[in-house]
Amino acid sequence: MNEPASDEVLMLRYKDGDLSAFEVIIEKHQQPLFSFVYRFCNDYHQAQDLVQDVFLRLVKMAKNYEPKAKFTTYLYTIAHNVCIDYLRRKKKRQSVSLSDPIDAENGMTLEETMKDGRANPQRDFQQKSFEQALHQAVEDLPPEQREVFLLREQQNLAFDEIARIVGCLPSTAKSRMRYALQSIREKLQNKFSLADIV
Amino acid sequence: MNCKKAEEYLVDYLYQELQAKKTLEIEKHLRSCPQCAKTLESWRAIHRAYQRNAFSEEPQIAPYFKQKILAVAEEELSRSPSWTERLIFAVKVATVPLAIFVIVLFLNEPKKMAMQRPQPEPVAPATKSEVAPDVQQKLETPLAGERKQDSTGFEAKRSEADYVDNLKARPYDQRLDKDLAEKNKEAGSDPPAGRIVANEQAAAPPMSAPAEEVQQHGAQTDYEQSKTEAAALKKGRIAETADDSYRRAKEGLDRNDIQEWRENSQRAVLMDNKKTLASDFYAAGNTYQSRGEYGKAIAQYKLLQSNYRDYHQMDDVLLRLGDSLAEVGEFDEAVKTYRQVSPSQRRVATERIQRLQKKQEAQKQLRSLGYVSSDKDKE
Repeated sequence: MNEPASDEVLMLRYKDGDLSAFEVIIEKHQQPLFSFVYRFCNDYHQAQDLVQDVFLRLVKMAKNYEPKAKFTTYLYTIAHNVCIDYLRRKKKRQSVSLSDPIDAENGMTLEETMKDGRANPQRDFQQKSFEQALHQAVEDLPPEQREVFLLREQQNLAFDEIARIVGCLPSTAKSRMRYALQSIREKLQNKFSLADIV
Repeated sequence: MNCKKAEEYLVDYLYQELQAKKTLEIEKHLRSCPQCAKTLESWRAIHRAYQRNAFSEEPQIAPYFKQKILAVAEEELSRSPSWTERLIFAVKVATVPLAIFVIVLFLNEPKKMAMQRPQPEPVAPATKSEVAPDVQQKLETPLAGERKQDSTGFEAKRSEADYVDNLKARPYDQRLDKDLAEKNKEAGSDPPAGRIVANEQAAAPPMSAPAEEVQQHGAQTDYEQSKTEAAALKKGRIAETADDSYRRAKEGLDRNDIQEWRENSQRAVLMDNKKTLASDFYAAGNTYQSRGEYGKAIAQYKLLQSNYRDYHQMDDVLLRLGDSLAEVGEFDEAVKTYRQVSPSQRRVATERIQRLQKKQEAQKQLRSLGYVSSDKDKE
């Protein structure tokens, strides 16, 4: 049986003119990448635009693509650059805060718009409060810590890879992760017991 | 191992990235230090909780996203390299013979100098080994253009950003070029060269006075398109600024002059670099919709949909577009439009789709019972 082609091979195929190879790449990476960017910027439409920018840059760079590093490292390095550019632009404009509701019209947050399909309302409420607090704690992290946290927890990347993506030493990436975990722990412990978390 | 050292390795231990020897050391420390054990336990709890919750109800990327990117990817495959890319390639290719020339020059130079000296002294001529490191360094130093790539092969960020801007503009530009080509064909003049193709021409012919005039007013045009647009300007069919174009477009639509609306609205969008006209198109669409002029409303909303994707009221635009399409009987397209609404408004969109489907079903039943005649019967 044939092994599915690696991302690096797919990129090389696309470079040689095979559009279907790029379709596989988009299908495989669009949602994880979107989740990462969405958690980074906390804005649905903005995240969509940023992911679009990432893929457009990928398309443009395809003709110079050489599989020197892992494809995920390559892709998330582009995403890192796009997110940093976004933060700079945002800082310049001093626009919306991270804690603003995602829907300007009805003031609903993302968590409020999530579907509720479970049976125990009290447990659901606790669960939802905890989820909200956890996501909020992640959102409150400084960008450089948040980025490392999301790459490790959401994308399951090793610290060496994360360091290459964000352009720092592996030890720096680990120490950012340490600070992130410490900060999340402090925030959650104010509202929940350790037993709730476990 | 003390607590300070242990804390350093705790993250590696948590994510199982620690070497075997260190793992044993830290486990030994954790058995004897309840404080560090508690810290690890809380971090592990956060890790598990995040893994459990992070992906359970994650917002989904829009369904049309893949098609959008694929369209650009396909276009990129068929695109011939631009003149700047060709120039960079030429510089890279020219580097090799240039480097060889420099080496030869450097190797010959000491010999020439030795021959030109009036009184040859017993000084050893420069040997290859003395010159080579210098030349080698020159060879190894990348040219300015080549510095754009770092060790992992990523291009300089500036050129990426410029390119993304170009890519974003392209689909609309090409549509505009096509429209202008059709317009010229009708008028009997030469069709304008496509924007992309014309931009890639290294040496464009000198600009005529009207073309320069158009460029002075801020329009991003090439020579051929400037000529066409300048002619249109002269005829008074299109305006000079985004606001003027928008005003003329709206006046055209109010008079049912579709051609004028199309030309000017497209031009307004093209010149609207700051994306400030979105709210005007949106407001106009809403006015037409409230008056029951659904065709005009659809025109406004579709223009918004294809050119102002990041407009903050896009969900409402899509819902209203769906409603208007449903009003004119375009049920399938209405359903497709509702499905493009983002997850935050998906419940509303789903309700409307269901209502539309019920309506369709009811119409079918009435038609089959003979209470309502079909369109053909009416004719």
